[in-house]
Amino acid sequence: MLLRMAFRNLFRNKRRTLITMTAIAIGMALIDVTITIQHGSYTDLINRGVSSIAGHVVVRSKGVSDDPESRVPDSSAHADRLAGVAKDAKVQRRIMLGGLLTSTSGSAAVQAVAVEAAVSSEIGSMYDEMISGDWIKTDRDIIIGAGLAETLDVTEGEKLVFMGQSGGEMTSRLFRLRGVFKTGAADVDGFMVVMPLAAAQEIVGGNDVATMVTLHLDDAGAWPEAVAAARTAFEGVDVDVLSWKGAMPDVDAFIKADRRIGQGMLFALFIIVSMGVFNTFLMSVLERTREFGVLQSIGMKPNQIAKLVLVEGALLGFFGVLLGSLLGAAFSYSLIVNGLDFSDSMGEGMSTSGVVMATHFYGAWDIPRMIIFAIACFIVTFIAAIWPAWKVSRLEPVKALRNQG
Amino acid sequence: MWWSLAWRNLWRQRRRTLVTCMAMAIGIAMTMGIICFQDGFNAELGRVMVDQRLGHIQINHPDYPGRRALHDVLDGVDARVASLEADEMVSNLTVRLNGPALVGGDKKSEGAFLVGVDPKREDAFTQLSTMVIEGRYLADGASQEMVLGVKLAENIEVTVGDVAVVVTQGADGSMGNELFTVVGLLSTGDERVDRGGGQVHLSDMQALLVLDDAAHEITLRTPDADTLGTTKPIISSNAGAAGAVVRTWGEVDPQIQKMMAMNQSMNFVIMMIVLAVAGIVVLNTMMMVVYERTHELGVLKALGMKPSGVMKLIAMEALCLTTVSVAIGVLIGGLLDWYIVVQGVKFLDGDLTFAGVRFAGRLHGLFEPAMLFNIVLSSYLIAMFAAGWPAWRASRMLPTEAMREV
Amino acid sequence: MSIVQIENVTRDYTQGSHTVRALRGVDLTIEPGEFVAIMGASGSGKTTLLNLVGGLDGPTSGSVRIEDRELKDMTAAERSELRRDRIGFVFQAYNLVPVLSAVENAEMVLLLRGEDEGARRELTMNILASVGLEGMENRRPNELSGGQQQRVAIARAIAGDPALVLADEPTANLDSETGNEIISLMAELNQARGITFVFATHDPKVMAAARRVIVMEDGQVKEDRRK
Repeated sequence: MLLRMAFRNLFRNKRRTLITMTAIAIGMALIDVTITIQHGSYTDLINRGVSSIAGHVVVRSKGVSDDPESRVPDSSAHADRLAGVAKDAKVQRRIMLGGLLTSTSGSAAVQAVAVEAAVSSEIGSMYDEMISGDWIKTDRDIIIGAGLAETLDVTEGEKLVFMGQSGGEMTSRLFRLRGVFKTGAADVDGFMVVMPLAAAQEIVGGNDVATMVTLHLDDAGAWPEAVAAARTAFEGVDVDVLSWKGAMPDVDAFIKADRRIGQGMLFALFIIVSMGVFNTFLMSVLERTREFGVLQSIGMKPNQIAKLVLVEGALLGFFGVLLGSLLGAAFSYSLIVNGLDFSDSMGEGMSTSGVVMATHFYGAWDIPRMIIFAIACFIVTFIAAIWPAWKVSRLEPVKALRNQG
Repeated sequence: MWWSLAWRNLWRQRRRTLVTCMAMAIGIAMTMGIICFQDGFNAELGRVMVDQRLGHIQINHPDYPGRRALHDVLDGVDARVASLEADEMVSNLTVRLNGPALVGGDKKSEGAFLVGVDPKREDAFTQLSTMVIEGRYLADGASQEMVLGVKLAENIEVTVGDVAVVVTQGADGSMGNELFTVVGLLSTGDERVDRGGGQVHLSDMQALLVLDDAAHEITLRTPDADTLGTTKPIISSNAGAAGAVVRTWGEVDPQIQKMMAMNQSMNFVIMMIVLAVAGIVVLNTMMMVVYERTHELGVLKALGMKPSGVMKLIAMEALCLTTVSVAIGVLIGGLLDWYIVVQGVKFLDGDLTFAGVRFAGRLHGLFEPAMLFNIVLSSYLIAMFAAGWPAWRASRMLPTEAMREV
Repeated sequence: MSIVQIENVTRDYTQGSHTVRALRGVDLTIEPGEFVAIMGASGSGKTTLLNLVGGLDGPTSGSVRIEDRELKDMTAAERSELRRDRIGFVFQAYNLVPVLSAVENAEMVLLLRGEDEGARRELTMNILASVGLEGMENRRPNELSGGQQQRVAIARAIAGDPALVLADEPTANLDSETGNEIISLMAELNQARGITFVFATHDPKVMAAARRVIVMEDGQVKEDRRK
C-alpha cells in the first residue's frame, strides 16, 4: 500500500519526475559507456602487450627490471617447464636486442624482437599487422616495419644487414626481407624488426639464451592460476616468474590511472546530479506539508510518512538507474559492435607504455563493474531522499495543517 | 530595482539556492580542473614534440619527406643558415644531420638515432643543456664529443667520461667508425633521444657520413606559432630555402598535430557534458521557483506587469543564480587549478610513455585565461537556456489561473 | 461615461471533463465614484465577475467595457497597460512581495510605468503616510500585521492614481476591528479622491459601508440595491 502511494506520488508532477529521472539516467548511461569503452581498450592493450612484448606468465633473468637485453640461459629447459604449467597454452621464447640495420640505400637504428617462427604466428602481435610478404620461416628471414621499409628502400627478397654487439664483439648478419608490417604508430613502424630466435642467438653468441620465456593462455582470465602454478614449478630456479602486470608495469599503471580519471570524473558528475535530485525531492516533500499533516491527523505515524518519502526516493533512484542502465547498455552495444574510430584524428596506431594500440576503439562488456556502479548511483540518489524524509518525520500536525501547501 | 528583486528572491530559499549553486559550482570547478590537467598534458606533448623535435617549420631536400633517405640532404648549409637567420620571421634556427648508428661501449652496442648538431644553435633552440642530468652538453667548437640519452647509456653500460664506438653507414655506402667521448647524459622526455639517441657535432657527423656542408633538416621557430600558414610562404621565398621543401610541423608529423587537436576538442566535449548536467539542475530549480511563486506572479500581472516583464524577472533570477555559482565555482576551480599547476597531479606511479613522449608520473597543469572565459560564458549560456522554458511558462500564465492555484 | 459596462456576459470553465458555468448572462454598469459591494456565496460567481471587470479574465460571450474600451478588442499587452494605469487591485491575502519593503511594494505600479526613482519614492511615501503607515515604510511584510499589510496593498492600489480599485475579499483574513479600519480607509479614499471601489465580499461590514450592493447567485445578478 505504501509502495502504491509512493509510486503514484511520483507521477503527480510528471514533468518534474521525468526531468529528474532523465538526469539520473543520463549520468548512469555516461558511466556505463565509459566503463564499456575503457574495458574494451584496456583489454585490447593488455592483449597486445602480452602478445608483443610479454606473456600471461613471464620468466626472465632474476632481478633485472628495466634492462631489455638481459638474458637467461637454458631457455629451452625453462620453456619445457613452463609448458607443463597449463594446458591449452603456448610457450614462446624471445630475445630483445638493438642494433643497426643497413641496406644498400640507407641505415636505421632498430630494436629487434627475435621469436620462434611457428609459435609467434599463432600468438599474434606483428603477425596480425603484416601488410605484405610472409612471416619468418628460415633463419635468414627478417620482418620490418613499414616506416623502415621506406627509409631503407627495400622490398621483399632484398638484402639487409643487422649489426649488433654482444659480449665485446661486433657482429653483423645478413638477412633477406621476408615481409613488412604496419601498426600505424610511427615510433614502432620505423623502429621495430622481427627476426628468428636462432639468428639472434647467433648474434649474441649464446645458443640457448633468451630474454624471456613466456606463457600465452587461450583463456586470458585464467592468468592468476597460471602464475601461481608457474611460481611453484620454478621454485628454486634462479629466475623471476612474473605475471603480465609485473612484466608490463607501465601498462598496468596506465590502465589504473586512466580508469581512475575516467570513472572518478563521472562519479563526481553524478554527485552533481544527486544535488539536483535533492533539490527536487525536498521541494516535492515541502509542498505536501499540509497533506502530510492530514495523514498524521488520521493516525499515520511520522515514521511511516518518512518511510513513504524514502520509498519514493528509492523508486526514483531505481527507475532512474534502470533507465540509465538500459540506455547505457544500448550505447555500449553500439560501441562494442561499431567502436569509436579515432584513426582520422590519431593515426592508425598509437603507442602507449611501449605497446601499440589500434585507434579504432571497441568496447567490451564489463557487467560486474556496471552493476557496482549502478548500485553506487542508486545509493547516491537514495541518500538525497534521506534528509527530506527526516524533515518529514519531525513534522507537527497542527503546524502542517496550517500550511497552505 | 528589478535586479534587487531578482537577487532577493534568490535568498528566499537559502538552502535550495545554495544547493543549486554548489551543484553548478562543482561542475565549473571540475571542468576547470580537468581542462587544466589536459592542457598541461598537451603542453608537455607540444614541448617535446614541437619545441624540441619538430620546431615550427622544417626545411628539407625535396625527396627527404617520407623516405628520409640518408643522401637526401640540403647542400650549401652554411649559406642557407646565414640567409635564413637574417629573416625576421625566424626567431630560432637549428641544423641537423641524422645518422643512424651503432653505438657501443666495451661490452654492448645498440642501434641509436644520432644527430649531428651545431651545439650553440641547438641549445638555443631546445634548451637541451638544461636537460643534461650528468656531465655537460656539447661544447661549442669542440669535436669527437657525444651526449647520449640516459637510458641508452645505461643499456650499453657507458657513462660520462667513457669512450664509445660509433659505427655508421656513410652516404657512399661505406661503413665507418669513430671514437667519441661521452661528455653528458640527457633526459629530455623524448623517448627517441632518451632511450635510443644522442648528439654529436655537426662537423663530426658530416665527416662520418661523408657529406660535406650538408644537413637533413634546417628546423626553425617563428615568432608566432599560430600563423604558420602565412609564415610558410615567407620562409619559402627566402634564399636559404631555395630548391628545398618547406613544411610546417603539422605537415611533418600530422599524427601529433591531430592528437593535440583531438585533446582540445575533448576538453570541449567534457565541458559541455558537465555543464549540461548542471544546466538540468538549474532547470529544475527555476521550475520550482516559478511554481512556488505562481500566485505572486499572478499578482504582479494583475498590477500590470507585462508577460515579457515576468519573463525578464525569471531570467534575471537565473542570471543572479548563475553569477553566484560562477563566483563560487571559479574560486574553487582556481584553487584546484593552482594546485594542479604548481604542485602537479600524481596520476601514475612511475612514468607514462605516450606517442613517444615520456610523461613523468606527476603532471603539471596549464592555466589558460581563454579557457576560463569559455567556461564562464558557457555556464551563463546554459543557465539562460535552462531557465528559458520556465520563464516562458511563467510569462504565459493567465493571472487568474495563477491566483487560483493557491 | 460609465467606468464599467458589462453586457450579457457569460463565463464557462472546463475543469477536467465537465464544464462549470460561472456566469450566466450578467448585465452591469458602474459609474465613477461608486462604492459597490458584490455579495454572494462561494461559487456564486462574484470573484469571476470581479476578475472580468479587472481585465484579468475574458468572457466566454458578451461585452466588457472599461472606460468605454472593449476588452475583447485589446491585446494582452494593452490589457496589461490598462491594469497598470487605470485599475488597482487588493486581494484577500498574499498581496505583497515578501522580499520587498512596504514602500518598495507600494511603488511597484509606478515602477512598472517607468517613473524615475526620486519622484516615485516621494509619491509613495506620501501615500503610505495617508494610509496611516508613516514610519513603517522600510518594514518587510513579515514585520507587519495583517491589517498593516492590507494598508500597503491599498497604498499600492492607489499610488498610480487609478480610476477604479477592485478588492477581492480584502477583509476576510482580518479581525473585525481591523476589518472596520480597512473599510473606513477605503471609504475615505473613495470620498476624498473620487476613486471607484468595487468589492467582492461576504463580509456584512462591507455591505453596511457600501452604497450599492449587488447580490450574485448561481452566476446571475439576483439583486441590485442602492441605498
